[in-house]
Amino acid sequence: MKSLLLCSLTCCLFCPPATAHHGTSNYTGVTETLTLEGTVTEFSWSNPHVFVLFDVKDNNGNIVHWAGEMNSPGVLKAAGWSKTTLKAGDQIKVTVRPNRFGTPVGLLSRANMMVNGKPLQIGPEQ
Amino acid sequence: MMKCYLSVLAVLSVLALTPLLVAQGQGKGKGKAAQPPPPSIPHDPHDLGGVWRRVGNVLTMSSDTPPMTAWGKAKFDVTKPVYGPRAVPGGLGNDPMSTCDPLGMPRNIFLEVSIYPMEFVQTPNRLYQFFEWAHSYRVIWTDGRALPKDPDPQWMGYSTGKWDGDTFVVKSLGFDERTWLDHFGNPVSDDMTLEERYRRVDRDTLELNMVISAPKAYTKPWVSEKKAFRLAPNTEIQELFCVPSEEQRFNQLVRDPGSGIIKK
Repeated sequence: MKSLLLCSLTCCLFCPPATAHHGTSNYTGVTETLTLEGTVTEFSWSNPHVFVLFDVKDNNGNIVHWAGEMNSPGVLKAAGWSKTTLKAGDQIKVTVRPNRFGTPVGLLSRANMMVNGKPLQIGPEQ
Repeated sequence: MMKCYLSVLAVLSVLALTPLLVAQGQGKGKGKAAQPPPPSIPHDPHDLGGVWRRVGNVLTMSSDTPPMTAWGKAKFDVTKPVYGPRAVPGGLGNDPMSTCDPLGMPRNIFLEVSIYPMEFVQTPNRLYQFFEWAHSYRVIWTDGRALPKDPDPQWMGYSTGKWDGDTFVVKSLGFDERTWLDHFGNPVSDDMTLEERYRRVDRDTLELNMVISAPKAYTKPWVSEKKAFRLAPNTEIQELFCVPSEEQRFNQLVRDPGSGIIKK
């Protein structure tokens, strides 16, 4: 059950939102978030967007390939992240703002992340 | 509509800052009269050097967009921004930023200070302005040269600067009209001139007022609201290139599917 998809819509008014310099109009509002648990398949430390690819099991046991958009390496670095903060195989529990089109892509929040069962305590924003 | 959007942004900004302001106010003497601000730490008002971050939202010139000419309106109408009242999902937009095209001026000011810092480095005959976004810079010549009469268009334009008292006045022209003026898709024309007036009002605060004149795009000059920046002495400009190959992969794996675009 490590990769159980929680799919819980949560009210998260005060979660620090991930910011993006390219606009976020395709994502839901900050109050509509999904909590997902899955396995990292790639952590792409790329410019100008870092993103995480991770596999999540849906309620039927099917693997869904999710992508989580993050900010730039510079912004993440300032928050204490590095390209090795996540790696393939890590079990993560994250909050995302899903998109409005129903595809498995979301704007990933750095708040309250769990990695391999432990809170990711890193940087000034955590 | 734009006014409304910016007003909402302003309200949200205040709300976002409220807990911080409240927290900062806690522990101070209740009921005491407001203390006068401490005297400014000594600084050289003619030294703009340092890394600066924006104070508040700096998204465009002002909420009072001047009327556009027919040319300007036609150019504006074909833009598909991913910000503001006309925002479309990222994968459906045509913002040149999404393909790593240079932002040019004055958009670098708006973008950089909205998330990323900028840095001034002064030399005897020029001033460099570095922008974290796209790891780019512009040169502002201070050696007394005149602006060129009819320069070829450049993304950053051609700039000269001089001191007017304690205000550093930058005049620029020769812009590439492929750029957008801001996130909202407001137009830039190749006849545009830009005046920036920087003033370091105290050691930690830099103010900027701008005026653009672009008769081809707008029926009257566009005067900015006052912009403010705060010195960030412990901040280093990061290497934030917009890498076309990486952006292309991001578009393929994230932006496009996140905008409902499924390519097989």
